Amino acid sequence: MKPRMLHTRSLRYAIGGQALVDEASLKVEPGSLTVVVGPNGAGKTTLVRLLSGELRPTSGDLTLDGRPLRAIPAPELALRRAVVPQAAQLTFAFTVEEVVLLGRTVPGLDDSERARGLCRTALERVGLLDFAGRLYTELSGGERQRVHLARAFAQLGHWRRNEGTTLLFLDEPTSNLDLAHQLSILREVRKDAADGLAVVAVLHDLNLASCFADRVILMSAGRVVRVGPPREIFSDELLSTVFGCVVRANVQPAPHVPFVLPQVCGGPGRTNA
Amino acid sequence: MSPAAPWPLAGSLRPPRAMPRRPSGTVLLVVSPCVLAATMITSLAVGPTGISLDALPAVLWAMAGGTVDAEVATERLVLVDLRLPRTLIGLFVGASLALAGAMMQGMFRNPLADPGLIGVSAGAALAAISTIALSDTVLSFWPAIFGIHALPVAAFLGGLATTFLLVLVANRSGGLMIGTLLLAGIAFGALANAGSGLLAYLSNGRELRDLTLWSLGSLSGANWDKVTAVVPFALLLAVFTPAMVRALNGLLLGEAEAFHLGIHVERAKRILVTLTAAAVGAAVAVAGVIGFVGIVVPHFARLLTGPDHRFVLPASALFGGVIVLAADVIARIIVQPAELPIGIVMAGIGAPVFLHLVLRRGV
Repeated sequence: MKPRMLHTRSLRYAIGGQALVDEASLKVEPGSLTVVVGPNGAGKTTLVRLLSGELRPTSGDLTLDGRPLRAIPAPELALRRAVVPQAAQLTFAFTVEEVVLLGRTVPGLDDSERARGLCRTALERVGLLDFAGRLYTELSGGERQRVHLARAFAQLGHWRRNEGTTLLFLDEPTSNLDLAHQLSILREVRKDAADGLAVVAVLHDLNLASCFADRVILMSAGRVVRVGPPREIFSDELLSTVFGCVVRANVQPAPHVPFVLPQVCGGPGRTNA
Repeated sequence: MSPAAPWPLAGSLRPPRAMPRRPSGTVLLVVSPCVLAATMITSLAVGPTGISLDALPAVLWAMAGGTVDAEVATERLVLVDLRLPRTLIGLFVGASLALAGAMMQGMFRNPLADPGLIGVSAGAALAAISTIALSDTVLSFWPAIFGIHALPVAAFLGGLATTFLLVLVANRSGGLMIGTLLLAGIAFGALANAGSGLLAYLSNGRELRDLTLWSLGSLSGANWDKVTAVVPFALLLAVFTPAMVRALNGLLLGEAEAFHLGIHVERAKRILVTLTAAAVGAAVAVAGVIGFVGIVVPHFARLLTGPDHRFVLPASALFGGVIVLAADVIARIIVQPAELPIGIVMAGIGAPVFLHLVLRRGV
């Protein structure tokens, strides 16, 4: 039996000879939360777009449960992979509930009472159940982001019954969120990862990455610099080199400078605080 | 915040507002057909000859084989051979222009994308005018092949070519640029109009001498041949448009998001471009260029039903038919016994709505 995972070998994506992602060899396994970190332009978003099947790699292998990703038809892929975009361009006045229900319009999914139930559960998980009847276009940036997360939850509402690996991609899911929502969103996603979902998230906040990631992919200039658990990746030397500034872990930056770090570690399914 | 706290605290700080005010589906299902029927009856009953629907029983009796006198013959001519095809053509033109608008706006994710504004109608008109002007010379093979469908097929191809060019231009840098699309559309439209004007200027053809028919639209030339000519296009739209609902809804989120929802985006866009061109082409071939239907009607439909294309598409088709028929009735009676081009009436209704859209949500 083929190993259940999303697997890449020497993945490369280039536009006009310039590689945006190069020599990426990775595994994403079910039941894990993988966080991609790196400076601007490191290729994080491109990597996620490759792994989610949106972009076709210029060269290299990309397989899901042993099957080439590009051989999986779009509707079939949509039953086992959802993506939360950085920002969606929706300008039409759907209600919040209608946007989330769009997640259940994948062919092969029920568009019925069950869909409504899944939609309500998804909205509850992102704290927007009261907003179901509101117009999406009237929401704030952070609320919109949570609506799209709920849409992805709804799209994968059946994932526990899927045969192989089910994937959830999040591209900076917390960029517009306040502290409490950053934590609650990542905690929700962690729960699913603990239950067997394969989650890949691009995060800019290294502290959040450190708190929630099982594995961290550190990228720089289109290449994967290192992959491993947070305690191996977040070393002063490695981070300082990759991000091009002085970084020190576990040290207050200066005396009398308030230093804020939400205390969240040890959430569901996680003990290594 | 302790890990055990019920976390959706912040989410419920703002009091939720009520659902947007949309009329219930049942009301729409009952009211819409009544509005449609009323408009059709008005369209059949109104005209400069003064013949009203009172004459209909006598005409039906005559058609069923009863006695025919001269008066009934005239009434039959007006009702059955002039007003009825005119009504049917009006319905078709309105429905297909509104559908084309709704599909384009979904595909381009912008409520301002209208086939009339972005040159598709002008491209279709140029092709149709070329067919008429050159049918005795260069293009003599064309009517020989397509018979009465020659004009709509040519207009369809003209619309298709324009739309493909637009998609190419607007997609040049990867993502679709709506500003580029609208501006390029204006350029294509101006070019096509210049071509049409040139052909009309050089031509002696009776139909072309009245260029206003093409540039402002008119249903006055409606007859049963034209009805027959657009039937295949009406069928094409009726069969394939409903299948595009899911793709259109997904595309509103963005092309990448649509793909993530399992939609074959490129295939969907090709089908949508073809359907739009067919709708516009057939409408232009029988009625010339009627602007603003594609922008006003889907906008109105979205106000009533929300942006879900399951409801926007049928509502647009229905109200598109209604609004064009109503505009035609106005065009027929407002300067009796003469007739206004219907495009003037539609522009009077449509331009303010378009301005409102631009001011309210920008491009």
